Amino acid sequence: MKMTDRLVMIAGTSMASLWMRLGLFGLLAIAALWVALEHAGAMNAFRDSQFLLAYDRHAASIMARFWQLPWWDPYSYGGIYALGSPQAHHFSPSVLLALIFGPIRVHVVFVFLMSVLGMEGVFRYIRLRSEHDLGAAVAAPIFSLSGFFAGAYFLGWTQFFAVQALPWCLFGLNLVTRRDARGVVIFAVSITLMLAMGSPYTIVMTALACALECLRIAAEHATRSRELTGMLLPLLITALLTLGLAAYRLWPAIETLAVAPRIMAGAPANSLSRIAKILLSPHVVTAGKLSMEGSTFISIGAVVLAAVGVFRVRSIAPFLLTLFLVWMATGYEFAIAPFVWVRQLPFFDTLRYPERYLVFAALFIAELAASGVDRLASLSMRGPRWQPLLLVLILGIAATWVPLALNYQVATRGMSLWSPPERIEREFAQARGNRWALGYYEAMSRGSISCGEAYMVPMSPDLRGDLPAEEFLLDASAGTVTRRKWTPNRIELDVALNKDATLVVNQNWHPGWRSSTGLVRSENGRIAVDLPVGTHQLSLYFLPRSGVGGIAISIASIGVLAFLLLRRRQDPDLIAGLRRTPWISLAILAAPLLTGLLVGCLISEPPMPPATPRNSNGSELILDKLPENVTPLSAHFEVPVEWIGVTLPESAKVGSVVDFEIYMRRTGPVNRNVGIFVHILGPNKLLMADHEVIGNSLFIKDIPPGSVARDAFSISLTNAPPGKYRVLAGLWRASGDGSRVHLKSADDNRAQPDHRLLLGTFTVMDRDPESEP
Amino acid sequence: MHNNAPSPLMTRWISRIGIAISIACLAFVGVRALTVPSPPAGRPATPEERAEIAKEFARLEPVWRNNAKHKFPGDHWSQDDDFHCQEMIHARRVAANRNIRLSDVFMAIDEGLRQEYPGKPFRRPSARPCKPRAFYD
Repeated sequence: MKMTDRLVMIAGTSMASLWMRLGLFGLLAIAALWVALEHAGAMNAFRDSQFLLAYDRHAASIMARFWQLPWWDPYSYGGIYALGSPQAHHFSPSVLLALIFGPIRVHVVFVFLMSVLGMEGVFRYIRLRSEHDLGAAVAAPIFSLSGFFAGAYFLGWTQFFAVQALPWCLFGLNLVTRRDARGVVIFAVSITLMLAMGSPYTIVMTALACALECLRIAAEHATRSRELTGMLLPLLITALLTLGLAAYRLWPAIETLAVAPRIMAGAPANSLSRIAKILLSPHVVTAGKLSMEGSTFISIGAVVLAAVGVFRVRSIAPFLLTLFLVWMATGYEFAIAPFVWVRQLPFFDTLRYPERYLVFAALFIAELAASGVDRLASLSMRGPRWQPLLLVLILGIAATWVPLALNYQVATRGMSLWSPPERIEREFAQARGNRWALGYYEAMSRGSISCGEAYMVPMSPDLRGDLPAEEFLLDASAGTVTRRKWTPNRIELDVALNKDATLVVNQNWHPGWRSSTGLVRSENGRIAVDLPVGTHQLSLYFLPRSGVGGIAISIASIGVLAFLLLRRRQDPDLIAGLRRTPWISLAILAAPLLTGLLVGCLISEPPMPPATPRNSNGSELILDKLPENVTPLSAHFEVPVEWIGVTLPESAKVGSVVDFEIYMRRTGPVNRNVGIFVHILGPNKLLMADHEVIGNSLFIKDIPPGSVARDAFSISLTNAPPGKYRVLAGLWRASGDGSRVHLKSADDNRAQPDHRLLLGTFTVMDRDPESEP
Repeated sequence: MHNNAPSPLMTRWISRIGIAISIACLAFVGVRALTVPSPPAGRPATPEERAEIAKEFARLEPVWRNNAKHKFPGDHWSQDDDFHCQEMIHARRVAANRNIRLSDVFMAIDEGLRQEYPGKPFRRPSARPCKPRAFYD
């Protein structure tokens, strides 16, 4: 055998070995994380990492110090339901590792393991359709060590490493369509892992990837309609069991998001040249900030290998998928934009940053590159004339792996790092805190009320960070409260009352809180119990129905998945295996649902009330009627929105902040992209207060019919010259082409020729010389 | 590509080498993560220093609040968030200048706020409920 043939054969054989692959992926991950390993003992100072990585710390602390499951996290934002908080990961594998490695050092270990897992997933996914092991193994890092993950490490977005489970999802989905029970397990576990890691938005994007994969599979079986219909039942079983396995996280998270939604506006767009930079320019860190360029860096080598592999019939699908995902990543850049279409779907409207779809594209680019590697390897074995191609192949691999590892190192070298906090043992209390340094508070036995989460966390406005006691009576003269024992999930108190009184705990209320005496209720968002006169030994404990029910369903689903795997030994065909004993199979498949119904009946809990929509200044957004002190107006637009009132200041001083209110009604369906523009014209000065979402809470399309919406906003007059100011406003297509919505009619000559409405005028006066700047 | 199948012996050895490399990688990452030193944290602040720091932050708070009010007019959560950003930046500066632990600076702020209770604190001892902005692009 020739030398080149031998080399290619050994490489191919090595990559067929699971252990050798894991060894190779491990070495590549170490190369990428080399700098991160040097910093393993330091705390990531980036603002998001402070609260995201703190979840691991909090969960590990609750488990190790209090021997409790981290149902309730009192250290975050006055107390949050850990399973219900979408981005929290208190029940993630990273927490178990944190018990071994500590809350800081665990991060790099977890990322290492997820990277290796991701590369093996990519290998298996590509290998479903490729002929050889070598290309799949070589291409795996293109996805798993891409700039997307390097950036996520820099930013402390540990939940984004859930995307490493994406190739496993698609791999599992393919096995399911082949009626293989292993696929059901792999798919369900992958999705559950994503949720466990606090990445529900990844799941939304993964749903799109799964839909594309289903289309791909359907296209591959287009001429075999019986095979296609035979896939439907396995897919349905997979969907149900995935919901079941993920129920422990899904039920609480959906419950929370239903009352505390995430609102995301804007019209993000990426030009093709920007996308090229995102994929091909390495990361640059300037003054502690990570560049957008390189945020899904895949290296030039990957593109060259993909270009070699693209001219093959089997490359048509990954090529088309890559094109589609790049198109998705352009966001609002072009008139025809799939990103805009999918934003009309439920859950997809909460996604931002279309460039994140590029990491999905990286998976299919990896598939193309694998095809290129296999092609070069095959050609190099044709004869002596073709042998130089082996050198091209080696150079191609080096030009892929080395830049990927270096890019990771550049990102991690540029991180801003702090020393980890020292533990201070003392009684727990809420502090005002600081979400920019939230990682420090649990170690100080303090909770941080200050919050920086990405959704409207249900929080009480009455939480305080200066109380002498965290549990107290509303009427201090009614008696005394003594803390007997405090743990995150259980608070034991001695209460002596000389009259009926309300006990308040300085933490956020959740319907899962229960009391050994009396009923727990919300006192403007804080935990409260009404108690009769007398002495009470009170236990407050947290037992949420969705958490208990969700875990019970998940455990039942694990049983079903184990049953499917056992049945597979008797019959490799999933459906045939189930049909052996149809009634038993049906009963077992129904077990998770029955378990959920049982728990739902056994554990009662009042529903979580929906959050009251508020403006950013705290005023109520939805009203029954127009308040009396408002100047009425009547303006109609070409969309079914009517403006009915306005409040403006009469005068204001330079350097002050002035408040405005517009009152409106919606009388029919309105597009999501309709927003409000506000132009405040003064002497040689234009101030703007355009906004797409009312009070950061509500799109105009979501104003309840029959209600009045109050849109409160403010502007700063810091550099405004004194004089008379005109306030002109109207509706525009904020996330569309930016055009104004035509004004149909308005009273009192308010209508202006350019579809602006004159709301009124006010005078800006010079500030008092003695006043504060 | 694989016209020449590998011998069973070679396959076995490849697998063994793979196991050795995999275990070595895992061990290296685990040991390295556990043993690499943390950056120096600074010394603990004395109670007197913490009291001084608390006063300094109390004095600066109105300035930061005013900055935040004009940066995010009418948006209470964003104002709070911006205030906390300024507070964090100053906390880092104070910790570095005094060579003390950053956590001691945050502890000093906490102690300062508690000392104002139960009178009428001129500072707000709380933070606004989370209300992230709808637009970050």
